[in-house]
Amino acid sequence: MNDVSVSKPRVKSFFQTAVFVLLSVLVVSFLVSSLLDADSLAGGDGVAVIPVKGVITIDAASGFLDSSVASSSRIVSLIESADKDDSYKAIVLDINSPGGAPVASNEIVIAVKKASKPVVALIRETGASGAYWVASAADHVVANSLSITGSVGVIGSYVEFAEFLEEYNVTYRRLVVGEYKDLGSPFRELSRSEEDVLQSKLNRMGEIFLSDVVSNRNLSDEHKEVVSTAVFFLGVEAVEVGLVDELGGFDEVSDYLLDVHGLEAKYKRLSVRTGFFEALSSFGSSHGYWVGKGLSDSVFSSSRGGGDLR
Amino acid sequence: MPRIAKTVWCSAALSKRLFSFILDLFIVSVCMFPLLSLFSQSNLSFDAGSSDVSGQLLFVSVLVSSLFWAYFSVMEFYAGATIGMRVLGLRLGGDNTFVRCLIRHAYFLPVFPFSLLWFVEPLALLFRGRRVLEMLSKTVTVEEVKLL
Repeated sequence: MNDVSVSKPRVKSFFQTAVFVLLSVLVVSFLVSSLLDADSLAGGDGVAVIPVKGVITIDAASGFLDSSVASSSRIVSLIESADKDDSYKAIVLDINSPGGAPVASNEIVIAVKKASKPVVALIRETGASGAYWVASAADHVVANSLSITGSVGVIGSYVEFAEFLEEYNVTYRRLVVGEYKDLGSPFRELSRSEEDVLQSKLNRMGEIFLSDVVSNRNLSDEHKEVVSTAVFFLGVEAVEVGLVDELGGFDEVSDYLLDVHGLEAKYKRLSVRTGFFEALSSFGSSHGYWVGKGLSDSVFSSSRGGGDLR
Repeated sequence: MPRIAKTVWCSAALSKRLFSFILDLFIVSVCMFPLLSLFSQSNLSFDAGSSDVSGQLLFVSVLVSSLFWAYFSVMEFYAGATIGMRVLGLRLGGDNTFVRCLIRHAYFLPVFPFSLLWFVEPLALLFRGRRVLEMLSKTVTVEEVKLL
């Protein structure tokens, strides 16, 4: 064991130093964050960017490090607050979602329709099914030429275990009041009449969904027929059938807002107040991004400077 | 005759160093929550192609790293230990200057090649018992051991 000398502290109170340093960090942190927040909308028309990412559900508990679902409660509250906030002149829905629960999707659709400010839907990788329903309610829909969209239909499929249980001598003891109380139970075989009931409900939901999309997008009978097959479309095909107004990304959204509404878009992404770990995780991702970018830039610049092919 | 306890300082155990570092990161992160929350609110730079926001995020990223760097350097120089080190009975050994304390924690700089130290430093600590920057800055982290 080596006996090592230790430096004498330059201040008498460790506690006072710690409090001073941490308070300084806190003050700098508060000052910079409030300055950036105020500066972010300066010199332009504020446009609220609201992410609709992941499967759409009504409520979603945020994960430990990240959340991968689009909660309709959160999205509706963001749309309503952006609509009330005078610093925002328009709303952009940044969509990357395969759809989700019908009620949750419908809640967002209603909020979009109620918004008094221009709403633009930007479909990124995917904006299908319920997510497309949300997009269709917007005033203008922009998608990438390779985006997956459409899929205007309802799915209620499930895995049935009846035969599997029978093979292992497991019995489902049915105790119900009302013939259809355990309709759709995976533990027994679905009867013909039950299947008809389920299918009729799905048909009804599909009709409501389709008719709203047709009305939102003002689709012709010919296009309605194609869309009603619930086939998905690439962005470039979606323009042809009238599901999307324009191909592009944020630049096209900015051009639309400038040309049609006279707004010089200055985007600000809205999100529900995040938890500590989510914020830390986001910093980690961002930090990793810059580290990676720095590495690649260094490698790229050195190879460009020193390489010569003959 | 009563036994008199003698205190000696020896090289700090790896586990204690790890826990004290995590504790310090946690404490400073809590104080920097307003800044850190900017990342989750405006991760626009990656997808909106907005150079303004991208530049702001780079600025905040550098600022956050600098604050971490400042916390570790200032605490070790003025108080001889960070809060995490104090909790786990660790100290900075030897007589150190502020520049040495800065060099010790230069891995916080979010620029190449310092960012590589995030991979190099744990390996050096694991296999050599001392970080590369500790060797460069001629500093050592010690822990208190009481001998009876």
